[in-house]
Amino acid sequence: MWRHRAFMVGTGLSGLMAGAALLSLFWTPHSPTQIVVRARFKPPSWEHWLGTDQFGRDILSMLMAGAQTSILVGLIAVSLGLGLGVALGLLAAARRGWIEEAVMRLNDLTFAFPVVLLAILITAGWGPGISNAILALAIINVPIFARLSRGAALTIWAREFVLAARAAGKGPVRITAEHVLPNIANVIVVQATISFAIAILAEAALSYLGVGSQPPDPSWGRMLAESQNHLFRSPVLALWPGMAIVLSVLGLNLMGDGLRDLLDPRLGRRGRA
Amino acid sequence: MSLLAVRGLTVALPTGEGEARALDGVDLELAAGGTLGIVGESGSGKSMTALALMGLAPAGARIAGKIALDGEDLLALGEREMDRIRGARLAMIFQEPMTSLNPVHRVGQQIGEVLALHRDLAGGAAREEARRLLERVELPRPARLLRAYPHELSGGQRQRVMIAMALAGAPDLLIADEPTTALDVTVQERILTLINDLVDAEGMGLIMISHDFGVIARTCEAVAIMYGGRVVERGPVADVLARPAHPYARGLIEAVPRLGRGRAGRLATIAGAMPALGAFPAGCPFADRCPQAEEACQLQVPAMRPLGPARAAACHLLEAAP
Amino acid sequence: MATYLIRRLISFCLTLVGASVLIFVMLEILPGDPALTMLGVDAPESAVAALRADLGLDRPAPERYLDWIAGLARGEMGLSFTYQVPVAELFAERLELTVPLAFAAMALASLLAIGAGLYAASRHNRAGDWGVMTASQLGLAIPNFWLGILLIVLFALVLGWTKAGGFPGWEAGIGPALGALVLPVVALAITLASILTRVVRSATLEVLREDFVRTARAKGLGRGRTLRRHVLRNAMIPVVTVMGLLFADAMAGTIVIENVFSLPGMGKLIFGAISNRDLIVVKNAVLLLAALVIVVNFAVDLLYALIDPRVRIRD
Ligand SMILES: Nc1ncnc2c1ncn2[C@@H]1O[C@H](COP(=O)(O)OP(=O)(O)OP(=O)(O)O)[C@@H](O)[C@H]1O
Ligand SMILES: [Mg+2]
Repeated sequence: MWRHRAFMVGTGLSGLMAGAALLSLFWTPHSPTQIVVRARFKPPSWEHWLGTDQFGRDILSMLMAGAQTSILVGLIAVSLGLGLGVALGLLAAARRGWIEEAVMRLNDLTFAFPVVLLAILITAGWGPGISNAILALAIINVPIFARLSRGAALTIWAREFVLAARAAGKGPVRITAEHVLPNIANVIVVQATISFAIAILAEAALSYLGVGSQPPDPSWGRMLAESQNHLFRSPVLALWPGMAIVLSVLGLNLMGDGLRDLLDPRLGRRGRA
Repeated sequence: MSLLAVRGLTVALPTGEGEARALDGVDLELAAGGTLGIVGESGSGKSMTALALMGLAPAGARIAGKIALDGEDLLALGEREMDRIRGARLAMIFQEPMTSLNPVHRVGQQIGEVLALHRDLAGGAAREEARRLLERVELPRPARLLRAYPHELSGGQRQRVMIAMALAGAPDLLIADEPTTALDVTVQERILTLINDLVDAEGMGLIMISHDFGVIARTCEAVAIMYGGRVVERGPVADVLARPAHPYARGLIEAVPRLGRGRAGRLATIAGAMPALGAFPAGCPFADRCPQAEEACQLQVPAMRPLGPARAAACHLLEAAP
Repeated sequence: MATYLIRRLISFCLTLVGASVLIFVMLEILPGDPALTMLGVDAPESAVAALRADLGLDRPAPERYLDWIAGLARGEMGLSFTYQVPVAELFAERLELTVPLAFAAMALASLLAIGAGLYAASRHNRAGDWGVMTASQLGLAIPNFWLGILLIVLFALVLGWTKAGGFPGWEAGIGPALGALVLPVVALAITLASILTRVVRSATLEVLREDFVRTARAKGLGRGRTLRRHVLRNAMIPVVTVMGLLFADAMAGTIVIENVFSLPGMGKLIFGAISNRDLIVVKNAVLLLAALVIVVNFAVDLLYALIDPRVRIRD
């Protein structure tokens, strides 16, 4: 497993991001929210490793705290979407019939609503806030996980050991819990990693547009939006948050691809009977 | 000079650890207008031989030996020169008619491609020639077929289209790799007859590949029997059928109901299965499955011994002809 | 063929209806009183009541929904609450920018992706393949709005070749108008191309393993011609589907990118409407964008039948 290079790089980058977020819970070099008028637009120095922004806030501290926001949004949104989506997918695979049909129709509908459009709808109805971003992302993820787990579950349902279990009189709930779920866990984990990466990108975009996290909560997307007002004065302000996003997303994507490579060969060949 | 002379053809494929020889020192000989059958079990290297002749061995394969077509060494040719030979002097039809035609192009287009490439025919002339070719392979309503897509045809019809495509370049040598294996028995018969008739009429050479000795007996004058990437016996079909020299050849012949001399109702089969590539014994590749194997067979690869005019076999148990 | 078309058409209509229901529920039912949403919680009760009457909100929701749809069918979307002009007029102006932007980005992305994907597939497991895959991995991780900002820094601030944003309008002539769209299109296209490149590559690799590719080579077609004539079109079958799905991303990306480059398109309009709580504009604008995506995907279904003759009888 550790010989897979992309997986290692991905895990390293993801770990860096998670570490920064964790650390920021207890300690950041400076306060990420404190406005220090004397320290506006400071270049990088021993005091401020990455410099300060237009309000004299320490960039590095803001990035660390911003990682918190990204992870929080990604974690909640993907967990909600995964939970509901996998439940629907498993139900559709176990029951077939109209339930399956309904799940697939819902699927067809959501492709026309990218996250941004959905977040706009929610914000227009309820007003802006980070919870809108989370809600929109969760909703988008439901059909993704539903379709994925339904497809994977259907192949498991067709396998001999499931037929044997049915012949032994086990009900659909037990079969799903004992046979189907453990066998499709791999694909779900891979998709969760990829969805997490997409969630980070989307959170940044929504916060950039002003419909995600609100001030004074630190957020990479809003840092970029604010930096754009000061491009003449200090273009590097636009550099750091973007780099943070790229490295996190890259890390998660690489980790997801690596996981797919590492987990997939087993999938579909060896079943846990 | 013979139409085709293959000497020591060796194809080494990269594997996880090093290389494995899918073909090992294959020799073949075919006179102009002659017919040669290649027979052997699945995995014996028949298709690999055909692909190597066409210059279409898998990417990464290392190829050695000599393939002379009309005296010209094909292995010495560049990619572009080979493109000019493929389809024009050498043509091939494949085992799977269902997947060997491009699903998104019409039959007419696919035949027309060969005509444009090798015979400079286009437009109306190409259409007329394609129609004539479809007639030649005895397809009904050829004008309409030209506009059909492959999925609208039956397996037998598609194989006829493949044959028409092979004929389109007026090749000197036609290689047919199990052309009837995927077809119904009744269709098989008709396709084999068609190929035979066409080869006779056009004066083409034919290499017919099959795992069924019966098919070879019907269509070819000479036969080469392959096992484990080597030719283990060769000779005129009638001779080999009457007096197979190699124990593997005997096994193959006895496995065919119409040919086997075994008592009626009891079909012999060769015990065991062919090893995977790279897992053959160090000596004779057939040693592990041979009912007569001796100690020497495990140790040394037997060389081809001549057994009379145009006949040879590679077996330690044979006495060379005087 | 006919059954295929009819089935696609039915599914197309159902999706359109579903989208409009979803928008209606999200904006007018779930949040509670739309009049209150539009005026804010601290608005005087009389003003709220007046607006409620004005918009006909005292009537039951199904009736209001049907009214909305019936209006759309007649080509009427109502008056913008803030601008007091017909919404349709507002949209017409903005779409002149948004639609070309989205389509240009898709076109550029497709060109890049087909070139890079074919190249990578033809160099499978060699340096060229690795390079393309690395670039696309990077492209996937770069947010389009950040790329937009970087392009502004480079081309507007450092090099001074273009303005930092804005749009002179098509009246200013085709040259200046297109010039203002170059950077936004590039920023949008990169992400799309990164996704699509992977699809093109894997579809091509899959087709390259097909028997008919070997047949083409056996006929004497060279590598390049085989790739162009036999592989490409078959590989396009899955690629076209993904292109349709990606159009939703292009649309969403346009909304974001318009904000980066201060372009007066649908995205700008929508965000203005959100801060002004102009529900009527938001409702119709979101439906319009979703409908555009649905129409494009319907068109893709039709295109599919053109590329793959098997679809015409299958299904
Ligand atoms: N592309 C390839 N890569 C690696 N090994 C291969 C490849 N193609 C064929 N082989 C191996 O080479 C050997 C010869 O295969 P070949 O296809 O020539 O057999 P065959 O005699 O045509 O059998 P069949 O009757 O099944 O068609 C087999 O062991 C096969 O597994
Ligand atoms: Mg074969």
